[in-house]
Amino acid sequence: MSKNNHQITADDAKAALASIGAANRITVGSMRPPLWLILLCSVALGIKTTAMGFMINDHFWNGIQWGSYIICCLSVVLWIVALRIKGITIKITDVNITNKGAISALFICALLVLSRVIYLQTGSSVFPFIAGVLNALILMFSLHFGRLFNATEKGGK
Amino acid sequence: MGNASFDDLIHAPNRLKICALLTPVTSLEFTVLCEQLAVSDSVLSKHIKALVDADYVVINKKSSEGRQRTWLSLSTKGRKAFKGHVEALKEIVG
Repeated sequence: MSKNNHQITADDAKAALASIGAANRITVGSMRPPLWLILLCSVALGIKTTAMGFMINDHFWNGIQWGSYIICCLSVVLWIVALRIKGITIKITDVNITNKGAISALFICALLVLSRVIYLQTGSSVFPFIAGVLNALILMFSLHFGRLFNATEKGGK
Repeated sequence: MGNASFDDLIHAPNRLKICALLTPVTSLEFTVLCEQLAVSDSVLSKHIKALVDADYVVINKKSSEGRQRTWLSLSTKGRKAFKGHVEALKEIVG
């Protein structure tokens, strides 16, 4: 087995990388929002997406849209508070979105816009509901299975 | 791979895990780190002291609900050193 200047074999390095990966997964796993919070946020986003489609000149759907938006924001705050109680802190300003997070965000934004555009163009009330369900599912799976962000180098001195 | 740099201080198994656990977050509480590493307070303190002395880890003590909580975070220098160390390990693996 070839050795470098630090007398570390490739197997040692591989074991060290595996240990780093395992430790990293533990932190990311403990950062995962609780299931009730994932459901709350996903349902709120789904309702927001549907309401976005229907809200044109409709105060009822406009109100629902803003209500679900506030619930989404509150879930993020609740999640940060829950993490802090568990002994983990993250700062929203200190995180950068991973590729998975960016792709999920892109799909969610696209569906938000499409929900409204397709409803306006076709008058079909089905698409906003489909878009709402899709967005809720995307967010649910992303929050439960995906790693959407990392802490950046801004944290600490 | 330009910033790959093997760091003997970080390479010790527990210190490597400490850095890996601290990387994805802004800070972790001392007790959480103890639980994750399954080591005693004194063992963790020893490793943390070595990392603090190298300016890799920052300690922040805060009182909350009548008890003191010790928060640990990686400094910018610590994050760079850890990133460089991981790159160096990847280079060794090839």
